[in-house]
Amino acid sequence: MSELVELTIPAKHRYTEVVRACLQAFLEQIPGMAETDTFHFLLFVVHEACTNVIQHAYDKGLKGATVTVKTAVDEQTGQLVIELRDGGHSFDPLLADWPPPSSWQKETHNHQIAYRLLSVPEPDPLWETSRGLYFMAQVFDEVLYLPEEGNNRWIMMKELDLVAASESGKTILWS
Amino acid sequence: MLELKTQGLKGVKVLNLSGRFVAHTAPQVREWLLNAAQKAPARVIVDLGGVNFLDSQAIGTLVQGMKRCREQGGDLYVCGLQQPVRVIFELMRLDMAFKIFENVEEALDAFQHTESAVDA
Repeated sequence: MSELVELTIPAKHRYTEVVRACLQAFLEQIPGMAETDTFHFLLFVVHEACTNVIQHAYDKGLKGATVTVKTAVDEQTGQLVIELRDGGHSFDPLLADWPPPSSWQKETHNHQIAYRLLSVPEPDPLWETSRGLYFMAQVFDEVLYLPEEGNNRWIMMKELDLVAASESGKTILWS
Repeated sequence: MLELKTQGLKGVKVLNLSGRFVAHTAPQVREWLLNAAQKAPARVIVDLGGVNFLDSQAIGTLVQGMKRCREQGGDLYVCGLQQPVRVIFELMRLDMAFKIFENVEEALDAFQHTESAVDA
């Protein structure tokens, strides 16, 4: 596993910029990555995930509320793993207004209840909200939501193409 | 930080944005758009040429403004999309919702042609 970057921010919109800047610095270590659409998608979706947590998990406000973001890449498999943790209230995805219950698969993950995001119907372009989970499902290979006692975790995984990096001779991605 | 510059060109209200168009900067844009769409026909161009990042709150703000403009017999066109913004528009298929142009001049021409067609 590469270096692990862990960042905790106050659960306020203005601090999501710090998460984006951190992820950008992390991804830019991969040669050629910054020129790809995937690079922009990842910055966007992680920003959206943080925004969703601030809006929904902390919608009633909570003094001292924080969001912790962990980012790492497995150099062997090229898998990017991003984990968000918050101390807000949980929700049951199967009872939510959007996306429909068929978008989720309830399962057990390390002896815990988890909800796997399968696919989300394409939102109407004229909707003013409800795009975040669609983006997450589009961009990541796997998205898991784990409601836990006193906090929530989102685990998002995506396989990155690191072949270009090794072919360029720059094999040390994470110094 | 998001900078707003406004101008009126040929009966069209133009909003030039520079910076990050996100949840905590979107309200000032929403306020401007809703104000601009108060009188019919509401013709608005939002130039995103200086925007290096936007989020779904920003998209929602543009959609809301566009719907309000159409209710007032006009429209909201967007232009100048840079790669970080363009790829998000494409992923969300927002070209189905908005008329998108390369720059302000092209968007202005489109409004002029629309006006000519209506007059004819």
